[in-house]
Amino acid sequence: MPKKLLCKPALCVNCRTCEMACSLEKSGMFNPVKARVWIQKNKKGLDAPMICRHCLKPPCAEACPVEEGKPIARDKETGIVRFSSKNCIGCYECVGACPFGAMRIDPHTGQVFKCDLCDGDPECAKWCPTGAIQFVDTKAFGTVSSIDKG
Amino acid sequence: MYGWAGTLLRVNLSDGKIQKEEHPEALRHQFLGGRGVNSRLLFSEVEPGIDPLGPKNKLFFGASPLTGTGLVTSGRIHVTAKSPLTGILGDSNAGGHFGPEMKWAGYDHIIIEGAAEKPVYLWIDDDHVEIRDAGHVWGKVVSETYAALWDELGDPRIRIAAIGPGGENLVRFASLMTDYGNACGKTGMGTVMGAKNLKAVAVRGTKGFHVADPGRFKGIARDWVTKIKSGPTYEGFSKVGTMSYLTGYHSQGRSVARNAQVTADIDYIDNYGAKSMMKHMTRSVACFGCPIHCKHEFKVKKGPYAGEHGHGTEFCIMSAHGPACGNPDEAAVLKINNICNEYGICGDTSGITLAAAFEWYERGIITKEDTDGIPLEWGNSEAQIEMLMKTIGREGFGDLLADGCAIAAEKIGKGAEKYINHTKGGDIDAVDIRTLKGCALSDAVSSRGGDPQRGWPGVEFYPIRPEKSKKLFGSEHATDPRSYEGKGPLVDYYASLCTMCDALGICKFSCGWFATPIYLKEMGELATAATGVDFSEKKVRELVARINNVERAYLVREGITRKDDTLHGRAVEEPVPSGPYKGERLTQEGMDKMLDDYYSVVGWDRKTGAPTRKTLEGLGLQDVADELAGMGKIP
Repeated sequence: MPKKLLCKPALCVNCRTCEMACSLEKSGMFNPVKARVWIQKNKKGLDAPMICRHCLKPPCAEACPVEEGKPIARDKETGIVRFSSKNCIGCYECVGACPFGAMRIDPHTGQVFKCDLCDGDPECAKWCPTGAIQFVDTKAFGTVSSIDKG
Repeated sequence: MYGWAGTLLRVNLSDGKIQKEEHPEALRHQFLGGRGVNSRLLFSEVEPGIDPLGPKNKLFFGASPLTGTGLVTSGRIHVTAKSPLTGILGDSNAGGHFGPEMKWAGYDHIIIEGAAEKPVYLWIDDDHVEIRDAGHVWGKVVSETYAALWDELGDPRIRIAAIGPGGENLVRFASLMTDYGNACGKTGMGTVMGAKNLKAVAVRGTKGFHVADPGRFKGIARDWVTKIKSGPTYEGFSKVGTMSYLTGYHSQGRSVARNAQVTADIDYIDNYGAKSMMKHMTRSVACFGCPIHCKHEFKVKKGPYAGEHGHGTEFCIMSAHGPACGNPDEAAVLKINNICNEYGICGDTSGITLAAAFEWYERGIITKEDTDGIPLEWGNSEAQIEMLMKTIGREGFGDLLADGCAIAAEKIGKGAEKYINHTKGGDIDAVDIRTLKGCALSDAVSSRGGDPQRGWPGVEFYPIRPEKSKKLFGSEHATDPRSYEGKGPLVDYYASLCTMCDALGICKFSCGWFATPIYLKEMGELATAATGVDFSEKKVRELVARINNVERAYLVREGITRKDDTLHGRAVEEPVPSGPYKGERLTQEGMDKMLDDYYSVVGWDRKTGAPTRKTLEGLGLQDVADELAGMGKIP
């Protein structure tokens, strides 16, 4: 199994460096609305990184009503859940379905976009100064202590 | 354009006119951003002698080319106006997330002019700018104001800089809160907002901006994170924040209490130590882009203040409302921290002002009859809170204190002015300045009155080897805190770092001022990567000198001369009373020697303290020189 993103809200300090790292990587500019990751207060009052978990059964893909040439699909080899705007009809069903708020909408174009794990080398995890976002080998996932449920 | 957003937003509250102006190249290149551009605009646009609370004062919000880039500590906003507390240049900067949002909306600076007839707030949604009625939030505390405006505008991610009742009531040291627990506290910028009937500025930015060389910028930004995290102050600071200063100063014999009557002899100091404070802290919180996360959220668990929870406590408020007021109860200060944040007043200045009042009371200069029956006795934290609330409300004796200790002392008379400690009306931090000669010089020449963050040479706290001192600052004694030798170049060095941080919009905790190996050269490299404009070390030195001189020219134009470059109160009147520095003094002779030295380093006239024509012209400030000459301030 490939590596996965591990988010630990208890370590997040809301500095939003991840948003800037992602925005620079993906849009070439500093603009949080272009970032695939964002920070949101969770129910416990902790700041939580909202980002695609590249689910094994992605609710976004399941919610997508497009039948031919589905815009969202999980690549079995890399484990990356990818989105393509090509056949997207802009219904935002995926946005509502994602439990992590990871399907984002560009406020200027209305277009949906999402994390592609930077093709397997995510910038957010590299920049995060506290370890709130880590990119972890799946085999080590169970051994990483205190995976916070926050 | 890279780095800069490229637009200045000008809003006149008197006639409702809203203008967007192109950010002039000369202004950008010569003053960079933040404090630099703000100070230049203050000199150019605010005429001398005006009433700081009148409509002719202007309020400048300044971002910089690095603001909102995700670079470490790039979340700051710098706010400038003529100060209603000191009558000279007023400015203050805060972290949080407001500065980046304003930048992403497309504005480097916002200039607020005039005054509204009734309470309003400014709503900026990218290009859409609107002055809206604020009648329904006037009178509300800061968190209630945020909640009401988020509800009204329908988006809790909108960033709001707001004043509380302190600013509305024109308390002269009212703050401007840019997030929970982030304050532009010093010099009364919230007061200026209150005088303009401006309750808040709300902003949402979705436009973003580019930097000139993203690859290089990214490389430097990552390198800075490593430098900061491996720096000598990171570990302690990321856990405890600035609160560790109190016990740190104490261990050096420099802590002060009871309005600086007492030095080094505070038996309850451990109440303010890391172990005690961390009992109340629930988690670390950062400003935008910051790996240091020196802020905290806290909750008091036991005692009379149990349940009190809030944000962002730090050294200044803990020391000013703690030992300076003779208050041993750190939980009471956490309560006071919340009052200051919610009602929007400076935690530092309010504490120092109350400390003076406690001493006046002790000495019988004021009595219970003056204080509306409140016994201002050292350590009576209930009385302290009661008088603080009266100050915020300008009720009874609080009305007098709301003008700050310098103005209040003048009104009270009876020798009250002997017991206030300040420089040009700006209070001196709660550390024994007599033991730190360079810090005293820095306070004396600071353009906003007493203030460590204008350039205290931190190296005096941890002196280096004489040879190294000579190599870096030209004198073996420059870093010796007891010596008056070589302080001119020393203070200029640290003041330059601080000025560049303020112009770049970054926190001083991320540079050489705070023992992190990031200096003018490195800051210039980053400014170049962001803007594409050459900011070599030589140009950065010119830039900071230009900012220092335009600020000094503003002060000179307001009537400041060499005689004002001094400290007032206990610091110059009395020797250190106890501790390892017992008997140490700050002498006028020594002060004069340091001023001569500093003036010659920065190119100011030794007699008047005004920048010379040669200095101003050498920095491209011909118009400033001409104006000062026209007023007879310089030949």
